[in-house]
Amino acid sequence: MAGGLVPIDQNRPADLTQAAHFGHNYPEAAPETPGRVQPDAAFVRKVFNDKLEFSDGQDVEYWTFKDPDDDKPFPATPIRVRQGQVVHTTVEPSINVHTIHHHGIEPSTYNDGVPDTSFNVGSRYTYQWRASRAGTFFYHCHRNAPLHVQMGMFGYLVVDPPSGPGTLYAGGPQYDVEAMWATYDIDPSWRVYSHAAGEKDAIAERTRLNRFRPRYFTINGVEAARSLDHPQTTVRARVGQRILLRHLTGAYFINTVLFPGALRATVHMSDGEPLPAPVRLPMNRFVSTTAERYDVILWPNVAGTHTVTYQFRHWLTNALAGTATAHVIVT
Amino acid sequence: MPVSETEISRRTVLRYGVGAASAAVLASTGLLASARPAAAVVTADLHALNGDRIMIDGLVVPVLGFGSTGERAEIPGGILEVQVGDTVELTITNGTTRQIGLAVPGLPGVQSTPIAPGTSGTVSFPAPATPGTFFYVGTIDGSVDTGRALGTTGALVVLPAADRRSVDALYPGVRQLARRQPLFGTLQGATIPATFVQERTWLFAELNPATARDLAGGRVALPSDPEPEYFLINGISGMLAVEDPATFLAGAAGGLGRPGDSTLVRLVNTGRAPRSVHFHGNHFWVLSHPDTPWIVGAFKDTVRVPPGTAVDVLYPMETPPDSFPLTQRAQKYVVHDHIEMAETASGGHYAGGMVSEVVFE
Repeated sequence: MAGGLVPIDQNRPADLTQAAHFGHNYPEAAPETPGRVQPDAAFVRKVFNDKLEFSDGQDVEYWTFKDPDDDKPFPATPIRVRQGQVVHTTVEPSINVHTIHHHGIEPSTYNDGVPDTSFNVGSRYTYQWRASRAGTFFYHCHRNAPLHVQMGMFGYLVVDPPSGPGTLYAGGPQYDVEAMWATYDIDPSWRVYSHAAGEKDAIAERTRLNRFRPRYFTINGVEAARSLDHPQTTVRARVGQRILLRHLTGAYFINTVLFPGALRATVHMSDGEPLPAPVRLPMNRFVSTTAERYDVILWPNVAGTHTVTYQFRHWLTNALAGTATAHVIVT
Repeated sequence: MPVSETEISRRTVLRYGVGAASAAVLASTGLLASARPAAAVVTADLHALNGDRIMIDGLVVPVLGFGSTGERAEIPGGILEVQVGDTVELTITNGTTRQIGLAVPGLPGVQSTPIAPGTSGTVSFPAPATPGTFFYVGTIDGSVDTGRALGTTGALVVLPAADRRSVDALYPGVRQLARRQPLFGTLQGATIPATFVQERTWLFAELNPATARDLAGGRVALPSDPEPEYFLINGISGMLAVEDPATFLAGAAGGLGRPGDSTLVRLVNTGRAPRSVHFHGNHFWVLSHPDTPWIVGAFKDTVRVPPGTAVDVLYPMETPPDSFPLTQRAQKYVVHDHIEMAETASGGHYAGGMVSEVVFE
């Protein structure tokens, strides 16, 4: 049998314009959770708005989720559970309609938080799922995702092994200090859009969610100029301690993460599973795109302030657009 | 609007009606259903043609594509399937007014003399000695970038001289690397299965209508930085890619930690941006990666596909492990580029871009 050409564009319908509105006929709902049980861990997440301030005197609006008892965090209040637990995440949007997608968690469609395959949450819904694997995940709003994630609607989701924090996964390496550093780039011009911009009337309203031109480049909302000693971008450790960095690319531009050699950066996991083998990073750097997570153990053997540099590269040209920093202060 | 009924009927029509022919092609997985014992000369005809394409919102955009016949430009061109060591002989018939050549990024040995308008020519090259995923692109007046921007692309799949569904034959040594946690710390989850049940090839492309009009009109150099306005998988986007039988995944779930209708997906990126492809429902095995060898054999949920390259992954179609109660019913999940701009169409309409679906039947 010879090889050859297998056409794939020959039998398609002639009219390709029937289905422009994928996802925009889904209902807004607040249903009961199917098969609801008593959970092992339960969280409530409310939606709020606030502003991030920058050293140029500007401030930028963000939206995100928070625990009702939390003040005004950025990013969202983390969710932390243990492997094997049945979890309830209750979202109470109160401001407009939203969803929670637990990224890397694989529940039933109904609990996946994707409006295109289920529903938007109007007043309240409890997502039910069971944490099958330990590792670093995150959660975010999946309604009108380009806008809502850029507005800041994401936060860490950490699943510890049954033994609890201090071990990356059952049988995996241990750590003494933990850092959760999420990259986040900000296009202030997207702040003019309404919650629904990008949905039904995107064309008429000239929404431009394909045109992302960020001006601020941050770790956890903190720019480089303010990063040293900021609790969101600095951790402290002693020589010989192991620091677990749970990296998340929340940015839409491409991140290159650069470590000083003294941190002896070794990647153990990505996306909630161990790598085939731990990797002492070649060139002390790695590249990461939106929604990827890497769990990196830093093991400094020298005292001092060790700065991790995050490059943000243009998604189309790969040109360097900005830089953020975070710090490990070793004594 | 009765959403679910409409969706089901459309999907049914596409899969069993209009799409029956292409579904049949997929079922037999092309012409190389079984391996040949020896290399051969593989011939194929590519017809370079001007055409236009209706975007998901109705906008008509000029394209320049490779047809498998002289009737019309196809976006994308057909999947060119060859076996390791084959000699590939392509006859390119140039029905355009431009000089058309052929290139395969990653295979510098593919060099063609441009073919003049209205004439035919042959491009011959040796297939690589190892299996892999590539794409071919028509150079337009000498420019690869112009071909990529106008849709003059198609996948090139190099198959092993053994069972094309054997993971070991396609990706030697990768199964031995594979690693995952025991589910819930105790139940041992399966690693990469020895064979997969089905395969898909996803050719990602970006399209900017103004650029396409300029290029189709004769301009060669691309403007410096126009954001694309359409983000296509296999030439279509949004709901169309969700419902396209050559694109979406469908199959039976295996069980908790057990693969079902495991599916090889070749993620081929002809665009300028990287893709950050996220599958819902299951993690997937990374079988190949062009610049990060240490993630090969990892079980990830999101993977970067650098521009101009391909990443092959295996989606196991296990029962979604975090469902509780453990789901036994049909489920469907989205698959999409997580660099969110690429999820839009018409310059900002979500989710009209690079999105498709996995259906657990």
